[in-house]
Amino acid sequence: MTVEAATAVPSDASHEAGDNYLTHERGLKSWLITLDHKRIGILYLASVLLAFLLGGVFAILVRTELMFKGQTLMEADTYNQMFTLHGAIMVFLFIIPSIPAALGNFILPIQLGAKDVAFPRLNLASFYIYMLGTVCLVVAIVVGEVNTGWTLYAPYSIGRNVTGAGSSVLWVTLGVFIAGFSSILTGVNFMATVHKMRAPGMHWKRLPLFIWGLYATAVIQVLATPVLAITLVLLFMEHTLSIGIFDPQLGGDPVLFQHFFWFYSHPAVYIMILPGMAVVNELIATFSHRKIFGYMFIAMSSITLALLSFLVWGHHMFASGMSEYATMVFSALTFLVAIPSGVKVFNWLATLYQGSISFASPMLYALGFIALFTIGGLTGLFLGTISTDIHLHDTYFVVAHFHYVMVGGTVFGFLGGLHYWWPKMVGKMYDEKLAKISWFLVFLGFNVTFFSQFIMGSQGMPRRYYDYLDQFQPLHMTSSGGAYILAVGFLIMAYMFYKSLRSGEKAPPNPWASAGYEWMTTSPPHPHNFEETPVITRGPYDYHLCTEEELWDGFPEDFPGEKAKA
Amino acid sequence: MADAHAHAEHGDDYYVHAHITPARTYVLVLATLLFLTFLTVLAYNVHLGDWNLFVAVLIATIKASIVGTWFMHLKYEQRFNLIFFLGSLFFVIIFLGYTVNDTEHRGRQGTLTGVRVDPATGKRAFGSGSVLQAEGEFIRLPPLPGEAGQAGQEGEADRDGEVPEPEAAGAAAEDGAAPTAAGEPAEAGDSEAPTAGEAAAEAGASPTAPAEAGEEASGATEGTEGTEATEGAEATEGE
Amino acid sequence: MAHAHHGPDYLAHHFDTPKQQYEAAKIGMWIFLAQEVLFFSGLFVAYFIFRKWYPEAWSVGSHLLNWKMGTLNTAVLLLSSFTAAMAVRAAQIGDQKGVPDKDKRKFGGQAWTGHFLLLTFVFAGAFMVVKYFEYTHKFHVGTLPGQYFGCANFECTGTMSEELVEELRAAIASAHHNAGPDLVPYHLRSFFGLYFVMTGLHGIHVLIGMGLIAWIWNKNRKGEFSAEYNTPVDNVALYWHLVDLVWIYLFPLLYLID
Repeated sequence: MTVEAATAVPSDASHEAGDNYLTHERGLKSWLITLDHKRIGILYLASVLLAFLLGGVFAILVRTELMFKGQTLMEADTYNQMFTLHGAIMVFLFIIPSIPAALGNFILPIQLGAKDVAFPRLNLASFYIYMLGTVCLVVAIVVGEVNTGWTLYAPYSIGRNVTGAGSSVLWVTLGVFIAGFSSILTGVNFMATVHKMRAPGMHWKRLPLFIWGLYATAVIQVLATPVLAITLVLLFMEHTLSIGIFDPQLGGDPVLFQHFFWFYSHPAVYIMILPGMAVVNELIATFSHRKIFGYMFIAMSSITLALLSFLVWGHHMFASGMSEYATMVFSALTFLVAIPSGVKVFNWLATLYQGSISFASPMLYALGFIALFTIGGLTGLFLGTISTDIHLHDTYFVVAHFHYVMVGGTVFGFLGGLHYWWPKMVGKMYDEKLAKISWFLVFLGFNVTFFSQFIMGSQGMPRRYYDYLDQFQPLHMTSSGGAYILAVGFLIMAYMFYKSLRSGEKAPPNPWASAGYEWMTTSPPHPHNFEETPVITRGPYDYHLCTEEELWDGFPEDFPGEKAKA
Repeated sequence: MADAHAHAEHGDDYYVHAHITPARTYVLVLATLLFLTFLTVLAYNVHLGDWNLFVAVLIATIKASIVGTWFMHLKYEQRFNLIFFLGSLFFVIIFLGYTVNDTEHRGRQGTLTGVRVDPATGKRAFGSGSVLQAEGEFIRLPPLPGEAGQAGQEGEADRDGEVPEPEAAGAAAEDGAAPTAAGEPAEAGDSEAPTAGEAAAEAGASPTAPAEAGEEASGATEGTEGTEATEGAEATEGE
Repeated sequence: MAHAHHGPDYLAHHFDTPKQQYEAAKIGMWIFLAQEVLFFSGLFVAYFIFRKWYPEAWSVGSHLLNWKMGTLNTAVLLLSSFTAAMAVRAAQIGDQKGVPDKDKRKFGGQAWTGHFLLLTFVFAGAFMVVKYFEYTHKFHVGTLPGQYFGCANFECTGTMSEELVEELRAAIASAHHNAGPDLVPYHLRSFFGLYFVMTGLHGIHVLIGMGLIAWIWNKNRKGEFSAEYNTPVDNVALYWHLVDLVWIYLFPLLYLID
């Protein structure tokens, strides 16, 4: 969708604004073999949105099935496959690459004032590796029978017999393994880029917080993802050769699989949430038109979160039979995570204080993020407490908790970023009214869907169940209703972006009157991002150092930024 | 293409100035590494008990540091590269330490028996089943050609039998059982061997037929604390 | 697209200076190597846990491996690391045209880079050949992972080959950890599971390394490297040293268990 639209940008735009990355080269081939980080970002964006659509369809099917007691739409087995695919696709193909690979690829080098990422060919390669992983996952869907849940827990996933998961697990394993390498390579690329490609004058204290967040993410991607890879290799071998590492029948240890898996997958939660927080930093500063409060604290809290994320994986395993010592250590460390998270939230709130806030649609997502992430984060503390976790483990409470973090957090961050940088990416504005309507529906639908799940979970409704007791009927109904509202919100949003591509107004270089570096170039940017390498003389949030023209120049009437000025 | 002229034009920060290590240093490094390899093999042949692992890892670490410092030029690298690479070891330690903190302190699933055993004491963990774990750990080798029928062939063969492993085949079912009980006699060409092999293998596959196995299997399962009570007892009775 | 006066040919358009390009490449490589460390770490974690759990299996298993071949391979890999380092050195010195012979450093220049790369490749090949003999022997005897343990050539007949029985007997006799003269630890299958995954993944890394070395050798032959620009040689050598590092640990941990 996005690709088509991008090529459909009228050529007269390029004559007016000079050469830009969309018009610089033309034709499908120029997109498929491009080394331009902006185009690769767009390629990622298109694929990530497709994955989101696919995962969303599975989500709707799951919620529809659960609307009524008993069989509504599909067999129990099919249901198991649906929630597995929903999880696997959303996690591995959508959330993990969403902000870093799609938005990050586009924005990071521009914010750095660089011409490209450090390794453009590696960047393209990681996109194709991601596509290859996607293909394997699609094969798994076609082959069918993937019903392990996205966590692929042994020994069920290594079952070679009738009761275990079939060979399609191998395809999922392969797909995730490959997609993981795409993530690693992106991480390597971003780290090298941040270290070596900064524009003159951009020392570490002038680094935009979006980049700090992506940098912390990259560290996790590089250090945690390989452990997932080796876990999957072992799982694969266990499945095919029964090597006796995870299989209890052969003297292996299934809890070891959980250790291996969560050593990656807990940090992976931060691969998902840190970029969301990173986007929110930018949004809060821009739409408060104020220097961000506690810059270094926010930056360091990202790094701290990245490091802490490696210390707490065991809180996913309190009910697995892990030793009590380990349980206590993991629980105690888990509470530490609240500190850097709290630092971020309070700094955002402090930035809002006495700012001149404009409630443009990206800002609405940012504010939604703060509210929902806070709920998600705090309920995480319930689950980090061993005693309450024993009660809440594997219930809908957990499902609601991580959806508040993953959807309320990351997806809101992603959507906020998408709205925010959309004019920069395609050079067109979108219909603000439609954006606000869709935000409202998404926000409402999300809360209806998942808040009811908190209640269900605390009452003991287990997750992943196909059927339930009578007492949960109203809450399941509510939850499914919310899912439909959510879906409508997304459809309106899709229409809104489509309309923008077809007939959006041309965007000025800096539609939000932001002091961020990426707004100093044209929209859409020059193929080399900036006509001349910029020399950085101020921080990305130094509104007090910006000239009037830097912020407000070239504004047509009626742009959100203009309103904020008034 | 890049000569003195270009250097003059661009100044010091333009071109790469690599540190060139003398060839002699590399030869010395290689010699040290080979010597350490010799040392680690030497240490292997000295019985140090638990310290063997320690010594082996220590020597390996010294070797690795040497390779890192000189061959990989870490000595002259940008500081960040050094920190990040060595930092990755810190995460390995977290990974290992935390996981071991669990595996060393928890009751473990006894092999094939569903029994949880405290690895520290070797005793049955609180609240778990009734059989000890040690039994699943060993398979008795077939006797040497000369003494066929003397040593216990039965062994723990049956334990595999308890594991229902449908298709994965002959493979899984036989791997343990077959080599132990059925293996050697068949090959050794002892007169009773073929039957012994078959019987034991069958016993392995279906624990309900211990009588046949018992005929051939003389030894009980002392070697392994014979807690496979049912089988062991039946086997001996059969005899 | 490229600016009229951007810099030397080897300087990619998005870098300002060769130094920036070099440092970016190095930093990227080191980050990638850190990734490799964590990739292999999972196997080591599994190794240590299982060794602690099943000391007899690990001890006997190690005695089923041929430590002489392991030692030979260690020496071969160390040699290849040495030649790789020398190749980088040769490339760094470069062909200093016009410099009197006595001022040139020994073993420098394009020709020597090529020779050393070729040697590295040969040693890597030798490593794989030794590995091949080790593997085929294990296939033949049936010291195979998991469910295939005791199944010569992956064919499970229900009987263990005489050779294997003999090997087992010998291994048990020489292992310090054993439960009795004819008791085969059940968890040998896990040991060989890990053995094959560890050496197999390492072997794959060796093969990839050989590919990279061949690629670099060819580039060098075409004269793409000089004293100013030799980053690919440097980075491939770094990768190769890491492969060596992994083996430095694998060797005592697998072959030399008391």
